[in-house]
Amino acid sequence: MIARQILFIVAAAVVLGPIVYILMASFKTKMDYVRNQIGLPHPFVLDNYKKLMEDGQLLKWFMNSAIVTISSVAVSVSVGALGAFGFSKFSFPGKEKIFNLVIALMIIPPIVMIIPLFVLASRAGLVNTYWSAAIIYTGLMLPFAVYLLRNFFVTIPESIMDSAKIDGCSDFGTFFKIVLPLSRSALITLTVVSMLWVWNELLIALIFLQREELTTLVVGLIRFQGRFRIDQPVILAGIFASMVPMIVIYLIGQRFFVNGLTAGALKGE
Amino acid sequence: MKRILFAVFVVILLAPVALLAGGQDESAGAMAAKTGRIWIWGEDEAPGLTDFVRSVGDMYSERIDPQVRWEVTHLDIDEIYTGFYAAEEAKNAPELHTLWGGILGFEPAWAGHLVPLSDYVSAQTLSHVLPPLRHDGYWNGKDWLIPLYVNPWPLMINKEVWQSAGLDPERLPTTWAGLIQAVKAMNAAGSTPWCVGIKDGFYGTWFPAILQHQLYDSPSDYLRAVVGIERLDRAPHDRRWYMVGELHDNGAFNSDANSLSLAEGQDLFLQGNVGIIHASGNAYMALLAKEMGEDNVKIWIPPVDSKAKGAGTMPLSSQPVAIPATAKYKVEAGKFLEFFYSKEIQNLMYTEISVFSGSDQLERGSMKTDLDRALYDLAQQKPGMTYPWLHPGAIEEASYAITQKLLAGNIGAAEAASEYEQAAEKWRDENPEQLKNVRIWATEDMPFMK
Amino acid sequence: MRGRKRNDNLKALLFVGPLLLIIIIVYAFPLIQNINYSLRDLSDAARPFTGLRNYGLMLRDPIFLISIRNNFILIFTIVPVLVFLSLVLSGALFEQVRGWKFYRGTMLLPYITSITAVGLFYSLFFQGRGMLNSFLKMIHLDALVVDWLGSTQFALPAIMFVIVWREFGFGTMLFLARLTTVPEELFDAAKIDGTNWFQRLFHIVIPQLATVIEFYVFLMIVTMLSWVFNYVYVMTLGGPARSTYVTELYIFIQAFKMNRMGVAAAVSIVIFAVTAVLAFGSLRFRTRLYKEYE
Repeated sequence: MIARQILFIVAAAVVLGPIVYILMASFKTKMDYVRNQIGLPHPFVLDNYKKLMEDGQLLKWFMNSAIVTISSVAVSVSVGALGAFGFSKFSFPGKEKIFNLVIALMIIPPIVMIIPLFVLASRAGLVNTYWSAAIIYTGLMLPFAVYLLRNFFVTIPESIMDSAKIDGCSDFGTFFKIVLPLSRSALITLTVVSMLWVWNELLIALIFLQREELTTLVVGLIRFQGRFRIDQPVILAGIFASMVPMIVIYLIGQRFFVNGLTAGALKGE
Repeated sequence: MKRILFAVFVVILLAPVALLAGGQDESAGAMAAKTGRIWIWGEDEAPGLTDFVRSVGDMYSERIDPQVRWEVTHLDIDEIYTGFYAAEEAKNAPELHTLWGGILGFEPAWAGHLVPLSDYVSAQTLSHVLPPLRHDGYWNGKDWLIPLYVNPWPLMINKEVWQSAGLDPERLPTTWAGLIQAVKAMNAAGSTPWCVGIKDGFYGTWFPAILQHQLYDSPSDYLRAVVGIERLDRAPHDRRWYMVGELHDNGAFNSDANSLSLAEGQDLFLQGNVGIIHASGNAYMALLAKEMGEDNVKIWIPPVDSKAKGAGTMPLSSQPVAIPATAKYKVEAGKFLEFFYSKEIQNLMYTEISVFSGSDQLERGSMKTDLDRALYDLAQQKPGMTYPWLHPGAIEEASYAITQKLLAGNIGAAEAASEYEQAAEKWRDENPEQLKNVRIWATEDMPFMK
Repeated sequence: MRGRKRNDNLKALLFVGPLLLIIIIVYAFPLIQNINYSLRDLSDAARPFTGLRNYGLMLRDPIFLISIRNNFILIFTIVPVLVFLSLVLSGALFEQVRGWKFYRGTMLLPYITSITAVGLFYSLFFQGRGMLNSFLKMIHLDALVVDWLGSTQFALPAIMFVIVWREFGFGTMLFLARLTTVPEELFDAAKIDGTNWFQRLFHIVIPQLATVIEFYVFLMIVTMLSWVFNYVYVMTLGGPARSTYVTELYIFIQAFKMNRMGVAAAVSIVIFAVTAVLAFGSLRFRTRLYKEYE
């Protein structure tokens, strides 16, 4: 028993240690960081966060990440829900095959699609617009969305849907008035997990949102060093600031994260 | 309740459209008949550049042609080439686009993505470009690239650190052996003689830029080795590896160079106790002077025991611009460059934002500081070649990895030189077309290089 | 009746249509185009057909070979470590250690932070003058001080540490979720029989988790193959001296820095093919596992 307690204390320390250090060091001056890297801040300063805000960049990066995340997640959840409903409540030729194909796409890594998508976006003049990244993110999230939601929709009893139809409800009506409300938790789960992924995504943002005005949070963090001026505590402050939104959402809705992440795997076996 | 849900759903579907609309590339320009676009890079090296080019664009509209309006965008460094190729792919490239100089700038030209500048800019104007810079934009009888501004690229020393090591900063070494002695002394005194950050690799090309370039009379001497007429692992071309190796063996560099990015390595100089920094750009050098003491710093070209014409010259890096093949208003682009390269504007660039011009029409009288005067003298009288521009990307990238191994102590100089030649051989093998083109560059006669 | 069928199909199309359209744009089109691009020279404006030349260039490129080797090292080191850690931690957590909910919560924290943020921190941590070495010096272990990220020997291990740090929470949580569906009686019976925790791990936990473990292994192999770009890009850019180069980085650099998009496309095809084979193999393995359970 004790051995296990120790095991977990060690594990928790390993996990929390870096996060605590990042927070702590974000209050140091540069000189303090260089001379006294591990110790407590001496002096304790708020300058780093001030610099982040004043520089104007952090807020802009947050906005860009938010725009791309919200739009792509909104569309992928909506389109995914529509599609999942189509797969679960209708029968049409090739349904099972197409469904299996769609969800198999989940494991294809984005790197495989990057080059043709870049050329396509270039031709359409969409590189360095939110559109290119948003469409690609939407597409990349759809297989998981469809998978998660269809598995949920099939659990909704036929009887409820039938009685709605008897009451004169169209298919769309059934979708909006019955199925969606019943699927609230699955939808939230999907939204939360999708947002996590887009918010933290680097490769696509790096390639399609290169222009300074469009830089997202993760890309901004990397670029945050001027070519020749390095201020490590400011960078650490930026790192911490970037972690905060997700940590907050996580603390509020931990179960959604857990559900979302495991649902994908458990049912997928 | 259900209606509300439906409304929410519709809003969710439409919101992205509204949000995304914000990110479109707007080129309004309702007034003028033509809007020319200029995409540049350089704010990091030349702060204020973008606004300055904008103001020149406004002056152009006022004085030269009110029918034309110029829209200037600053690119991110990673965007320079991907953005260029994307724009060409869309057949919608801007009128002027920043590229790197030399082979990296010619590659788009060879692939059909540039038009010659010399078709749109007068020979008279082009004749004012400093010869080594013009060389890096000139291929097969035509000019393709022209510098937007110039970045002086010498060494800078911290006099105090030299003094603490028992050295006299007013009598700097004049031989390679003297340099090594100085390095040893600074190392013994507990200082870092020369700060280096090579995690991202670039410094691999910075070394030869200040050391090797002095061994040649002209860029063609080196290019002959790039194209295989001579070998990169034979003298004098291999000396760059031996020089870096010797410096390393005598403790010149901080031991963690491989885990510091270029910026982090440069930052060590500002932290103090570093004797030498390879500094890029007079804006950056002004900052170093301010932080470390105006009278405490001095620029220096290190001695490499060379009798060639390149000895004692200061390398100049410049980010040139070119006219893409699918630009709409090429004639206007040329006219803009004529205006930009006039004596008036080139001097204005210095007086307004303290950025050096690539033209020989810059006047010494405008210089504002001693540092700038020293840089001016070197730039105008002893302009050196820009070594990094003289080889293709694949070979340059190989030098990153090889230098990292050298600094980690994994290999010695001889092995480094041999690996470098192998990388070059591979490039020559796999790129016969490019090789042909570089040979033309290596062997053609350039009248302005006399 | 037939009219009704057609009506039904039409309605289905309305629901499934938008989905399929986006999928085609984002998946189908690029996958096919990659094949096209891999057979051409894209650095030339004319895009001439060059047959299998790009594949040849790829196979002859020592950097590509190093990348493949590194991906293999990642797979064969990290996957076992992650499985081991996740099994031990989930098994231990499941037996109601005090405060298990807190531990489960904290262990997922690395997973929800961005790899970029984590990578930037560890770039500083593993530097020659970084926190790890400062700490080692502080506790007088100077002998262990190494320029971790700057050494061709230790850079990849350092990155591997970061990957494990970030990933192990997910595996633990996954196994734990599955364990909660295992009937209590099994564990109770074993406890009555006087087994210790370790024996229970081997004889109950692992067999019960067999299918999840297999799925997790498959997922992690795919991850080590093609979802590690972030770590490398942020921490080492493939260095020092290419010792941390991975296949994704190779694709990225070839396409966007070396202007060899055809080669990058060829490598993309290779990754896709390997992933597809792994998926297919995993599916067969799993169906066979199911058959055994019956």
